[in-house]
Amino acid sequence: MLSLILRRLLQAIPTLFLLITISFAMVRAAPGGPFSTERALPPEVERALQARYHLDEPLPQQYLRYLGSVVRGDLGPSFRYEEYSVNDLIAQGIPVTARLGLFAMALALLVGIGLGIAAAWWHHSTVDRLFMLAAVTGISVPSFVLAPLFILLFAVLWHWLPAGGYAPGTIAPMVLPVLALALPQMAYIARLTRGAMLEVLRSPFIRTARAKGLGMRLILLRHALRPALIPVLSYAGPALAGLLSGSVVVEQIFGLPGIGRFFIQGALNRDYTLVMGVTILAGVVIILMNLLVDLAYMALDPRLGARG
Amino acid sequence: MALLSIEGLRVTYPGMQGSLLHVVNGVDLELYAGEVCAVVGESGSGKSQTAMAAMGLLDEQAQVSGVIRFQGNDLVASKAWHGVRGSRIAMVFQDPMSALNPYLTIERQMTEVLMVHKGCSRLDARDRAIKELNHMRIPDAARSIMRYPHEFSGGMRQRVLLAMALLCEPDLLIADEATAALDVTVQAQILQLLKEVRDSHHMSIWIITHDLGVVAALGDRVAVMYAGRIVETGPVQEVFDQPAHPYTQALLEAMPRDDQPLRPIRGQPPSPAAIPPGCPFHPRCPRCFDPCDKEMPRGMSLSGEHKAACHLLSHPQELAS
Ligand SMILES: Nc1ncnc2c1ncn2[C@@H]1O[C@H](COP(=O)(O)OP(=O)(O)OP(=O)(O)O)[C@@H](O)[C@H]1O
Ligand SMILES: [Mg+2]
Repeated sequence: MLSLILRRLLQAIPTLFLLITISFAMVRAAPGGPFSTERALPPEVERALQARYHLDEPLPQQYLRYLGSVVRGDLGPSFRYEEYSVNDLIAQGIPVTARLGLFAMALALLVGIGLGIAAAWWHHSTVDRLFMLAAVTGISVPSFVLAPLFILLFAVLWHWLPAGGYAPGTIAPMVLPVLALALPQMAYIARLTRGAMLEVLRSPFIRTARAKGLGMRLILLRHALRPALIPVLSYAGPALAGLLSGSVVVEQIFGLPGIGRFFIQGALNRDYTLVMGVTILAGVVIILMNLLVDLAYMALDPRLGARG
Repeated sequence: MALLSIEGLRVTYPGMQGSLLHVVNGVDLELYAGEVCAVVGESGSGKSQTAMAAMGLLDEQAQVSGVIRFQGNDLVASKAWHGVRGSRIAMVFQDPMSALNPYLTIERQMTEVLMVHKGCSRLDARDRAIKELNHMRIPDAARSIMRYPHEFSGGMRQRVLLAMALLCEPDLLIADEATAALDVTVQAQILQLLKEVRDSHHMSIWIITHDLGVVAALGDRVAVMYAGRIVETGPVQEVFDQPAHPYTQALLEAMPRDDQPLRPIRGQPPSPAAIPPGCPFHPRCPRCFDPCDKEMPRGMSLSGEHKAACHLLSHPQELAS
């Protein structure tokens, strides 16, 4: 297991290197620059700024300089938020985004798996059909549609929950964003769980379990659930990383000061280092998630030899 | 009184375009306490479906009619398999490689049977399970029980499944091709175990097999199935020595022997969607004559327990020719 972790971390190095290189090229290929605002700056001011951030150097040299600082763990200064480094901004945003993503995923998994089991249990019944109808609807309505809808209903119309505004340690402002982010995932996970359960229920070992005279509860929860969770798991790991990009929109709509908002600001402002920093962070999270999924496989499936 | 008596069992499935698939077509079968009854027949003749009906394990779409009386209760009418399935009637299946849950230890899969049916504590159940594994000659049972199925060979897994089926000391064990997926030496070992089980546990065994060698080795009585019906039944020795039904004769002749070339039965068994009128075997029967394609032959007693359903039996002049 340790060797798996080590191997994966080593494999991550070239991946990250590639990610940095490509995103560097793409960010720089975009028109405009960090200091091209509506009002043109006096040429000497612009030149001084360029020199300060080494933007006057040839691109390969800038690239190597950036790479060097990333290797040292420094994502560079933000071009827009002058008094902050990208590391600072990310450190500020992470608690908000992580909370949003983790809560949303936990909710989606808990409710989604539960609904999936229920649908498999009452397979072919009204319950099953209703759940699946709801799930299909849920999957096809994306978060950026749900978010304004929720604001309209729960905040503007009924005044149940705030539409935005974030203060550390409060829960109420997080409810709607978490829901908006979680619902499509929940629906997808419910469908995935149901499908996987029904598939597993056709296996010969389930026939054995039924021949042993076990009740439906034991058959579903003890015998079928574990193998059925494997596809759910392989979806959920990368999906959690994917929630980062979902939260870009949701954070923007609900005015949450998370990484996603910095990313949008950074992209609009051509804040090169900020955009790159968030991209690298996303890459690292995806790699870690995949590793986590593999470790979880090993925990779930004895054949993968956690004890070998 | 029979331990299990099946009367007029029919199983049909809805087929394409409103048609019906006649999978089991009026099976009558009786199993007595302590006997080994072997059901043989070509693939698709409905052997497994009959057994699955007795276990109440058929698909939801299956339409079942007839009587399956176990220890006096009609299971089809009452649907009272609770307390019977897995405890009074146990079943082992063909493929031991996929019949165990790969995600759970042997201990978990065995103890749950006793905990559900006998209300045993986990520790008691574990002791019982280890004992049963020992009976089945699983080496080092106390440690083996903690392992997962993939750590066992096919033969060992079938022993585990057998041990699992015997945990509640059932009155009837159904073994559906329990040795078919194993290689010859392992087959012989499992057969030996089944013999010992028959003698030591004093239970009835219903074996389903293609292998007439298995029938000869283990069976007290044999029932020959064709197209969802039992066409001949009787004591193994009698049926093997004097098969009355041409299908049984053909089956026995098709049995591989060292000194003779294989003589497979000509033609194919009918599909459950289109069972021929009259005797379903008539299109393949070498002795087919006048009433065979029109009338269904009724079961006739030859001598005591030996019965067959063939028009030849009621037409002595044809039989002689
Ligand atoms: N769920 C089902 N729906 C429709 N037909 C089925 C279903 N299950 C089984 N059958 C059909 O029932 C017939 C009898 O099947 P069964 O499994 O009892 O045969 P068998 O005698 O056990 O054969 P084998 O020796 O190959 O195991 C087959 O033709 C099969 O295709
Ligand atoms: Mg079969």
